[in-house]
Amino acid sequence: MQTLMQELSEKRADVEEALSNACAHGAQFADIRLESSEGTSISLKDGMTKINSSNELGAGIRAFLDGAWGFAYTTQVNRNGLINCAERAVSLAKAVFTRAEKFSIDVPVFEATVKPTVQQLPPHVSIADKLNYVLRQEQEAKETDDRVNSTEIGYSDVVLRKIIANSEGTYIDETAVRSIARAMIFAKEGALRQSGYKARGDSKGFELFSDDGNIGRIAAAQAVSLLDAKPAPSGQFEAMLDPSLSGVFAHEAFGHAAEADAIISGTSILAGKLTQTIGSDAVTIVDDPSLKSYGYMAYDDEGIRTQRKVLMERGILQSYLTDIETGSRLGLGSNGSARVQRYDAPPIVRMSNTFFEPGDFTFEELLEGFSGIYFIGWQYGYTTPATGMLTFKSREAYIVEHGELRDHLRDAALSAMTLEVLHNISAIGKTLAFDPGTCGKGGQMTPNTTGGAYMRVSDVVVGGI
Amino acid sequence: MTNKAAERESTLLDACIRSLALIDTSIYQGEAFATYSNSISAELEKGHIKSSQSGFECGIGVRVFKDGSMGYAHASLERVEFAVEKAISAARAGSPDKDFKSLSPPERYPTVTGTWDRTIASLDVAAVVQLAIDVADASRIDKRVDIINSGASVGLWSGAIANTLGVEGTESGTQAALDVDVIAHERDSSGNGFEYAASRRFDLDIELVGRTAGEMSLSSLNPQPIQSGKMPVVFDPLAVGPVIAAATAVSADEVQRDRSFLTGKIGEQIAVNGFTLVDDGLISGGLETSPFDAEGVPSQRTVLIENGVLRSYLYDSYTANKESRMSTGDASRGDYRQPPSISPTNLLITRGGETDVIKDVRRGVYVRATGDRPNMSTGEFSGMVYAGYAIEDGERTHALKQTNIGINVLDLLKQIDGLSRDVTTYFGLTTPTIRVTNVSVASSG
Repeated sequence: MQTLMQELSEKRADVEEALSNACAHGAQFADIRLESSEGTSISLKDGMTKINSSNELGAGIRAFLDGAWGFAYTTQVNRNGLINCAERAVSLAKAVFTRAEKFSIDVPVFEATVKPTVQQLPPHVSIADKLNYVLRQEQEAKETDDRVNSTEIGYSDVVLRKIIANSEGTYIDETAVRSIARAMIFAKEGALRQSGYKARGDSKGFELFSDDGNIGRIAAAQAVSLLDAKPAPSGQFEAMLDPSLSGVFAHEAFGHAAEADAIISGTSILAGKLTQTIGSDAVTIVDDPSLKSYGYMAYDDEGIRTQRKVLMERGILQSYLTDIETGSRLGLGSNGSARVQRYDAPPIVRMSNTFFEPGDFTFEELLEGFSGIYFIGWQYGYTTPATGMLTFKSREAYIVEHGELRDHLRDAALSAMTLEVLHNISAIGKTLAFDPGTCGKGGQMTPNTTGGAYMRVSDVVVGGI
Repeated sequence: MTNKAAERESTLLDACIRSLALIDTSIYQGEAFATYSNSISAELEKGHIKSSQSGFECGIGVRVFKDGSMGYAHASLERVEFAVEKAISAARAGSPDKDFKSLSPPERYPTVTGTWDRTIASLDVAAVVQLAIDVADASRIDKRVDIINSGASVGLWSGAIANTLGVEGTESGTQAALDVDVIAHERDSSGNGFEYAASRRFDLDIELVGRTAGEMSLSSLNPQPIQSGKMPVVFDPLAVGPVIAAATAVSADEVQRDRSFLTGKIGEQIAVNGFTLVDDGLISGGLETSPFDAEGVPSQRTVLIENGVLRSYLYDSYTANKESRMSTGDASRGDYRQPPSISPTNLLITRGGETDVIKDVRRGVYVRATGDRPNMSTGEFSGMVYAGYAIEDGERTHALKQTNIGINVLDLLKQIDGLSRDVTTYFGLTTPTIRVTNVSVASSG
């Protein structure tokens, strides 16, 4: 029996008929994402396993009319199901277009088939082998220290095949593979409890987990080391960020503000600032979906070939992230930044692999003469888009005096204004490191990578009271 | 509820029963959960319609246990055999868990009310677009409010659950939701205002939702730091959720794994006398109201904190069996794609007697919103005031700039010294405005 995924090879005629049907019913443009996916996820919590086998088959269709979009989705992916879905999308667009702001869109056309080049395709690896990897992480976490009192290891893989086609003639058949593992480890001593976290993810198959990189042990060591950490002081400090936190800054504080839908909706601090100097000349920030990392995609979810995008170069804002709509409205064209979580949601402007370009300094050079707070690892954080106010909570931190690490700190938060941080980045390290993560926007989650290097930032507010 | 919904419920229940028939109950326990959902939404960008969406989907999630090892798989209703087969092989691959005793046996379900609204179920896309337009118009209370993005959605769903012990349940529901996000400008300053509302009934106060966002954007203009120190902090109902309710409605799973700062505190006075927190899956029209939870356990009312004394954690059947007690009916799931996990139903904090909780505050902080949450292992909370105001001589004055607050939740609960008489509901939590004394506030910038 052929798999659901193989069935997609035979859908071209139905897909094209559904799209031309949409146009015959009045759409000026229509596109479709027809996808099939197969994945396994394993959760191991203190020895208790939960194994989730996931399979999806469905399609989402958009219809465009004079500045308005209608979107509908279906799990009925036969000829009738697709045609019916296309007609629903058109009728939704027709129901609203008279009240929309008029604009037209410009759609470049691509046709390609993209196959992954992984060594161990996840469906070809047994659940037992995957479970063994997870059990090994748990074992090593527990063996790290006898104060480790609770362990949680997650593993998940997916093979995702997508047909992305539109009424202008684009037809992309792209298959992607992703794997990720996460360790969340808790340690306890007396009444004190702390946790540590480490993740590893990439656009790879099971070969990603073949080396020694041990997330269980790393997370356990962090949890244990935090048991004697102190709460952070509060006030204004010089800061040093580790690559995880600087990567998150590139994504969370700067990257979201560079998304063109926020520029158009008037909710970004970067609106109207293209070609202006908005940061120190040490700062270059890139979003690159074509980089083979956890956020990799050869074509975006509107079928546009992806490319490396230099968003900020030596302090000058060079580019926004655009999709077909925002690229057309801003006169910039799409640079391949449209993504969906799944077929049941319409594409929106998103990042992929977002990172700082490395600088010239070694870690030791950055630390030399530094007094302030050195922040390590990302717990969570958020920004207010309209003002650029941000707050990030680190996993651990140190008070540094004249280049010497002093008190170890837990739950230290830093808050600042994005545009001020960009100006206040005084030096960036030479070694770039990436972290896999999941980004949420408009209710849609996507796999992303953030990348950064050690960097020094002056004048941030530290909380952790 | 309509005939159509009743028909859908029976189709879903049939699919569940069909899938369970494929499970060998001498080896496995199994559970099937099927849903149908249908939604319409519309989005406005800067006052113009941007898009409308509609979707319906149907799916089934099957959970199979073998010696406590859980396998889960989901599929469309046409492919239940596939889901069962995948779930069985996943259960066979996992490790046994001696703490797993059993899924829940059948029990009689309570009747719930206010969960289905005929009007919501009949709205079309034009009506939903109009809701988004109306809420945007209502937020335009001043010419400084110049950027308005809004959205409206309505949805209806039916669900069915069955397990190999004989549990069978069905339900249907409706929901309507509004959100509005506005920015006001005045010279170089910009202020952000937002508001959300959701209801099972078609009774959203569109005017109030819009006006609240508009007023908030104006009052957020020209933020200033305040002098740092220890002072009273007043938590708006929107801020009570992440800081106080999320920290005190604790999953028994976290407690049993000894990860929670509330471990071992049952029976202890952890909060002031006037503080009572209840988890209630049965209140009429509650967003999380349902006759049964995601495992088919009857919904119930559970007192979590009673006059300051910690009475209960939140249990599903697994954590309840571990302690040989009853589940509190707090198994929950987003959709059929995921197995259940523990999460509160509707939370209620008992109202107080104050008509104005800020009038006696000489110098303090009003927190409208924070994105931070306490460290659930230690109870420590430190967070940025995402939206908030200074309080001076009993009046809310200017918006706050780069201001952090910090306190351990265990101290916070004992330092509550005022609860408002009015209550507000956000995201399933109904709560008064809460005043806490002696909170660390650090501000600069």
